[in-house]
Amino acid sequence: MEMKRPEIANDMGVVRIADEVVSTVAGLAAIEVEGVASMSGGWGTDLVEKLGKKNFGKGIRVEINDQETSIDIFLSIMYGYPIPQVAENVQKEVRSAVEMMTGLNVKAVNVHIVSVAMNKAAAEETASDSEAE
Amino acid sequence: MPLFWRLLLSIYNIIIILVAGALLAASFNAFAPLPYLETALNDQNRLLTAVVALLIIFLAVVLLIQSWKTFSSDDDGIVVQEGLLGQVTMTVAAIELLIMKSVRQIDGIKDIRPKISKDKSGLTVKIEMMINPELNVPEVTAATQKIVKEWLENIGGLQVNAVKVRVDDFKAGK
Repeated sequence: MEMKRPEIANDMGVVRIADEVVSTVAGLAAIEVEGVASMSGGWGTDLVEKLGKKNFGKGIRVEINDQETSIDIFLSIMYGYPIPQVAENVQKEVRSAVEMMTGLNVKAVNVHIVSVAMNKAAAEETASDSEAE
Repeated sequence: MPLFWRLLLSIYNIIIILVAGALLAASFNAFAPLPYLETALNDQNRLLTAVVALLIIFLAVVLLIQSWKTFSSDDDGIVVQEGLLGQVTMTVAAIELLIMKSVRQIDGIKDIRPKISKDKSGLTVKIEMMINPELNVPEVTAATQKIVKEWLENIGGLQVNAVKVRVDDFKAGK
C-alpha cells in the first residue's frame, strides 16, 4: 500500500512535516507528564545519547498515512503512580500537542509501558536493562 | 527469546564451534581438512555441499535479523486499557518489576521470582520466593498475594485472576 505524506498547501507552496518532527513533539509532550520517568528508545539510541547527542524523539514510533497519524510511545513509569491514569494523560497531551503544532489528525496514541522506575535517574538504567533482556 | 529461536541459535553455534575446532586442529597439524574438502567438492557431492552452505547462510541471516529486532516486537505486552485515544500496554518485564517493588514492602522476603501468564480473563501471577524462617509462612504468603493483587489492579490497572505463591527456600538474617 502506498503511503501518502500529508501536505499543507498554500499560495506560496507546500509544507511537508517529517516523521522526526512529529516524534520530537510527541516525545517532549510525553516526558512532561507527571509520572513518566523516561522514554525508552533501545540500546542504540541510549548509546548515541551517552555520546552527547540528545534525541527528543527517543521511544516514539510514528506512522503517518494520508491524513491520519498513529503514534506508539515506549516509556518507563515512576513507581507509585497509577499507570492507567498516567497513560491516559500521555495520550491526551501527545494528541493535543501533535494536533496543535502540526495540524495532523491523530488517530491513535498507543502507550507501551516497558519499565517501572523508582526515580528519574534509575529510570534510564532500568529502561536500558529491560531492552537488553 | 522463544524456544524455537534458542534452538536455531544453538544449532548455529554448534556448527561454528565445529568449524573453528577443525581449523584449530588443522593449524596444529592434528587434522587434515583437504581430503574432506576434496570429497565435499567433487562432482558427486558438489550439489549437496551447496545446499548445506545455503542452509547455513539462511540460518545466519535469519538469526542476524532476529537479534536486531527491537524489544517491542518480541514482547507484545499485556493490554491495560483500550479506548478512543488508543491502546495502553505493559510489557511482562515491567509487570514483573512492579511485582518485585510492591513485595519489597513486606518484611522477611529475601528473594522473589515472578512469572506472568495471560489469558482472555486476565493475568495469572506465579511467585517463587525465599523467606526468613522465623516468619509464619501462611501469613507472609497471604500478605504477598494481597499486596500483589492490589498493586497490579490499582496501580497497573490490570485484571488479576490468581496470585499463586510457592515458598522455595528459607534464608535467615537481614
